Amino acid sequence: MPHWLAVTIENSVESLNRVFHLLRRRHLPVDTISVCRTEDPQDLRLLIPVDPRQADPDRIRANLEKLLCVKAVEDWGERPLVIRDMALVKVRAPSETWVEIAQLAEFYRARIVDVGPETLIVEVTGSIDKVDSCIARLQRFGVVEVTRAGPMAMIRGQAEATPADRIAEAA
Amino acid sequence: MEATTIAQTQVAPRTIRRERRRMKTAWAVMEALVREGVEVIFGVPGGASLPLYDALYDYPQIRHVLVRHEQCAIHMAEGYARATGRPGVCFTTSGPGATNLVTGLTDAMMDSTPVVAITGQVPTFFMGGDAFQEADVIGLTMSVTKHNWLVRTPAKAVEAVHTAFRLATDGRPGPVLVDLPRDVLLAETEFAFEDPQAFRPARPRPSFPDEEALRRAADLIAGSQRPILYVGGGAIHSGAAPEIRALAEKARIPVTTTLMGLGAFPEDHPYSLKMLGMHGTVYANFAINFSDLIIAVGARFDDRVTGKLSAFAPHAKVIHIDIDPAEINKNRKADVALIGDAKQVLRALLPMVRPPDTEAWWRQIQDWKARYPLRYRQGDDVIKPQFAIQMIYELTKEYRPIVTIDVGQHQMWAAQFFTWTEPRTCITSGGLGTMGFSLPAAVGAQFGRPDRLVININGDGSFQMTFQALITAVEWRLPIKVFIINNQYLGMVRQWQELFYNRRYSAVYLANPDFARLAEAVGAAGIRVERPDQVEPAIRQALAITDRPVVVDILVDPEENCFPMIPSGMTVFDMMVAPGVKATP
Repeated sequence: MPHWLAVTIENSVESLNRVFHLLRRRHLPVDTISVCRTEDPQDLRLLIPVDPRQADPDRIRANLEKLLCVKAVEDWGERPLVIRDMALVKVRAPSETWVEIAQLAEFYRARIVDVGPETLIVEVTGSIDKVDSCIARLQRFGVVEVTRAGPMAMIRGQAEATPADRIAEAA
Repeated sequence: MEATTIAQTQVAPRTIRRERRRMKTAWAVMEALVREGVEVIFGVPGGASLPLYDALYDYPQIRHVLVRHEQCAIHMAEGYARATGRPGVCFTTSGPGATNLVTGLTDAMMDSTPVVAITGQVPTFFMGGDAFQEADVIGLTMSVTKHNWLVRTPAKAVEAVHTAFRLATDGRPGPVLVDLPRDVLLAETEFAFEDPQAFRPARPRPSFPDEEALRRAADLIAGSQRPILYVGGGAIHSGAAPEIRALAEKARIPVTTTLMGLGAFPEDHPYSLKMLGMHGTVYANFAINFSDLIIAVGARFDDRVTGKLSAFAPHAKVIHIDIDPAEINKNRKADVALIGDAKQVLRALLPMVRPPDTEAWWRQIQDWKARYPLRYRQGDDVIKPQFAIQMIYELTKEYRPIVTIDVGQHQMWAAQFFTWTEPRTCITSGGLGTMGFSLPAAVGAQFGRPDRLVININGDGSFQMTFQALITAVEWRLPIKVFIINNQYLGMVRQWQELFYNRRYSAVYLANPDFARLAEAVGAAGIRVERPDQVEPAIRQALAITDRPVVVDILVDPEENCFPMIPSGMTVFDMMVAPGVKATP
């Protein structure tokens, strides 16, 4: 199970650059980052899955907290989370395969959002595993292209919003 | 020592008034620097920074020291900061001016030195278009500064400068950079000046160690049999020397320091084991490796200290005191982490400390000390570098000099053969190992401390990397004493080639100029020393010259090696005291 860090930063390309730069420079074993908007247009939330066997989440947090553009680092390690990924999958689809693809999409609660002369675009959302599995099943039709948003996450049940400016509050 | 031409009462920050005034950004930046108490700026002007220099013309209370290369400017700023504890400031123009700072910024980042670099930038309407002398300075320096600012609007300029000063010195000190486009510098607007302290950026304050953590640390100390204090540069930044001494004396704990920590504990104290690590003393390295408790104070378990990390001090528990939470568990896992300013943490810990029984431990250490003192043999013909350095120490110690040291064999010999007793008197490039650091650093140190004798111990290779700082020193009539330990080799590289590359000396011989005549040519005094009996008179002669810099070129044994030595990536059991001779515990 990955250990999720939710990092709220200022919404700018420069801030993203600073975070990515730091992770690369410190050779911290992070291989994926989702960049999400939040309720505040001034903020971005980065979701970073960390494998605790490879990296100490506290060290990553301590490094991130040195950046002025970082407003809060929340360690969601043990919290119950809703995690949703989303993908658009363009599949090679002569008309005789439409029914089969539609049935598969139905099974994954996915939707067909574009019908072209030779292709369909399938939109699938759900857990990371579910999106992985759906893409894998579509492979046999011939996947032309996949674009994936990356996981979004939120803590279940908790009534308060994720602190977006913990650092300013603590200072 | 005679007062120098730069002697000046320290500029106190001007009385802080909240006020609004209309002016051009360049003048507002100068106002902000005055409010920060800046007394000296090291730099070189250029196209993009012309407005700053135009404004500087109106601020005669800030001295500007013109360097001949921007790398010298930032090393001077570092030397100033290391000698005084106050941030050093440098100015450069855009493009090549700014890129020449990169080495110094990296050096300051590695050694946690507070430096504020202010760079000109091409006008905002040219930025991104490969304009003449444009460089992506923010991108280039992002990983070698604590933070950097590109000021896109005049309104942000004063805030950026004040925030830069706060960040440079807050927490773990380090370099910062403010990039100022020319059109922004020339724009006129109304500026609001406030207390510079109001610009402290919101940062997480790690909670000070709680009673429980301090109690666990005290228990570890009380229960230890073979404790050791391992003290680094953080102790100097923090001013923790008195507390370290109090802890050592209260609990009878031996103290070793890193290269950066030299001076944090007096080496003439019976509890001192001097420096540890690759070229540290045998007894310091044995002591830390056989210890059962390491109390690390502002030190980061650098590879030059630990050698092979997995085999380093295998039986020791670790109490790690550091102001930077990102240092905890980075290289060595801490059993107790005490995050905070070293001085404050030690003050809180001291009353809880109960002395352990270290009698047997001290007998063991005394045995190592007796068996493995630092040594060399000086004959009648060739000058041994260790002898030259020891003589420099003996003949200057009464002046309590500030010593800047370059990088290489002479650096390690100076670390070994000086007796370091005072914080901020040993200034050297520790983390980055920047050859060429020490001569400009000596200039900066002398500006920061005009009341003290400043000595530079340099190598013949490293002297030639930033020789032009001597011209600046002459211009300001700084009475710096430069001692070149001249072995006509890149000595440390040659030593490694001798020991680990089968004596294949590849690109290490230096066809040197006559350094004494070179010094005379730029207006400094030059003395050349070739025989052992000339060393003492030359040092005395150098000390007598107080109206300009002196370069003493000391020709030493070209193939002398620096021992003890733990080869890179190896352990204390591989520690050589002479070629092929290992120390045995």
